[in-house]
Amino acid sequence: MSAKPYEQVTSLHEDTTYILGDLIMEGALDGGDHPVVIDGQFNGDITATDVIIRQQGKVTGTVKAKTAVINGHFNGNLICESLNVTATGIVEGEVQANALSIDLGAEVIGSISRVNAKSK
Amino acid sequence: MDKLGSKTVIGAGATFTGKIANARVIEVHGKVNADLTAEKVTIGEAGHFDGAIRADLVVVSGHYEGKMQAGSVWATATASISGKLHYETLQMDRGAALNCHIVHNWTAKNAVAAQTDNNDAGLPLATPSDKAKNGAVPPPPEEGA
Repeated sequence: MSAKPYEQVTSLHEDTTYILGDLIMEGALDGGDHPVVIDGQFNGDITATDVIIRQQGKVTGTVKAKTAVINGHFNGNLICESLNVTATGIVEGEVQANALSIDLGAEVIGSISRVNAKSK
Repeated sequence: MDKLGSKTVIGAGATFTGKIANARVIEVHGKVNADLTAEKVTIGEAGHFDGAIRADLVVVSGHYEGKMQAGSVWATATASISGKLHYETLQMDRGAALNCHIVHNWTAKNAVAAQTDNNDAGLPLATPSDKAKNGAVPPPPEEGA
């Protein structure tokens, strides 16, 4: 179940936002009602339904999502409904999630708390 | 992974504000407000790009506003471009709306000159002294004949 959002977006859709390759992006990204897949480097804020940080992906900043899958590197504040940190994932910082899964081998450094029902 | 390659896509409905560096191939279907250097840029029909682009090839089907410096520009029928356009080759489909300043950089040298001129939003026009040299005052023919 946890791998689903990852598989859903492995083919290119026009609606999905992909940040791939050696790209470096800085700023604020709002994926709207669509997923965001990051395999490059992103510094800043991301808001989307699904946020997937792939193995080569590196995100520093704030991520707000319904589902987050982290195969790569994340540093900052992460607020989501459900979070999956896979075996290659590294998460540093503050995590707020209601459903959490951390695979064996993953690195999670920082604080973990539940999402406050009031704040979205 | 290989399927996706190194293409970056800003999806429809997505909004990005900031800086993009090191891009190779980028497709914009959402709203982007950024400065961008890339090899190939595509602005989709629903795409909205605001900011400077420097690229080898730019295909515009959506809205563009800003300073574009490109080797080849293809404005498709649904394109709408405003701002400034520096190009080497330009293709414009019937229906494309260009509402901008267009400069043709035939040589790389001119392109560089145009780039430096961008700071003061000027054209790479010949200076008055150049004009005097290059024909505003035509040199007397058959001098010394």
